Amino acid sequence: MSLDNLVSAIRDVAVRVGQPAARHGAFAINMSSRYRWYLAPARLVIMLLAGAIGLAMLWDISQAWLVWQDVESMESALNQVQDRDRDLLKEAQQEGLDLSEAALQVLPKEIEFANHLIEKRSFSWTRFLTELERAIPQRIAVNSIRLDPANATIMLTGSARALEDVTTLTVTFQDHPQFKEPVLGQHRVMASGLVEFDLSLRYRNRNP
Amino acid sequence: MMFPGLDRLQLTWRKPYAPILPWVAFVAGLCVLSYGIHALVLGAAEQEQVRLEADWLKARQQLNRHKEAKKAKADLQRVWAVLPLFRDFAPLALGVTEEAKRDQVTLPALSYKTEKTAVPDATKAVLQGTVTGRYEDLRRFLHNLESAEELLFIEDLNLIRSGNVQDQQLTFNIRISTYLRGEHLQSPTP
Repeated sequence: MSLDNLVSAIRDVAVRVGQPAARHGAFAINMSSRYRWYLAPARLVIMLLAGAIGLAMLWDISQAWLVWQDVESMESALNQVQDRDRDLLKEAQQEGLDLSEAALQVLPKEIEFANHLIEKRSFSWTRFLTELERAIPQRIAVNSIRLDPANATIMLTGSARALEDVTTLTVTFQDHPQFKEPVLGQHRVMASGLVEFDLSLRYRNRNP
Repeated sequence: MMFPGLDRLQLTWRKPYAPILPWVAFVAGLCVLSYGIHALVLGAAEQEQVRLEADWLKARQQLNRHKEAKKAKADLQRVWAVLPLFRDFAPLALGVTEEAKRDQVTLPALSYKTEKTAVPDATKAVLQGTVTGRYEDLRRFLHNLESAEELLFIEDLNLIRSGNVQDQQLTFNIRISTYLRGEHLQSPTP
């Protein structure tokens, strides 16, 4: 019963929506065709659907227009970058620089090699000897020096008048700004009374 | 029967829902058109946008790579310029001996050796020998080698006191190295 009421209510609404005359309360009857209550709302739904699809189409078209605008500007930006690249390559060629793909493949090795040379160049034996001269006290004589520039380790052999002088030398190196980590390898008192010693220490290479 | 399926169409047209069929067809047409616009117009535009973006990014990277490479090459040219040419190795060795003489240091013999490096057109040359002289002269000799126009490295220096204390003669075992460039390593164009 309640279902019949519901169907009847829907039908009334549909008739009001679908028939302008009924909406205004005027009497309207169509004798030419059989009345079907669901046609009007179906037509309305279809029209709304058509409207929605139309809006979606407009939205798509507007989006496409915006994207094409973007595409055009990007195309121009791409051309600009490619032109700049071509100019750069031309300029490099004029300067005698090879920027071919083969040359670029070797470039990292060349840079590494050049950096190695520069690093090697930063070590100066003259500067090292000057600093060593300043650090070694008067009562010490150096017999041999070996320096490994790769890890800046110095192997020093020398002779001193007394063991205290060797200790003084070690302390001097400990406090020195350019030398660090002095390690006494061995000492030996000779028949002459001189003390011979082996010392290793590290050198802080500092560019002027 | 004029057309196949015409009967079926006429039958359908007599159905109660027939009046809304044109609307349904219209909406279906709109759907197809909308899909066409979405897929063919907007889709194509978006595809083109993605392609151009990738191309632009690639071109930017290429440009930056070339810019950096050009700068690096220009810097490298300056480094290569201080390396002696391979053909200048013999005069260079002679030059070291001459320098020793000028600094009053004895350099009786030098041995030469060449080694390959990671860079195809660069060769490491090693000169090894013994130098004898007063400490001041030896220091001057070392300084002159280090500040030479050609890139010379003193790789190893083993100081050995020799002779008596009065004549103050010292002996060094010295290992000097340099890097020789071939003709292909570019030097700066004038």
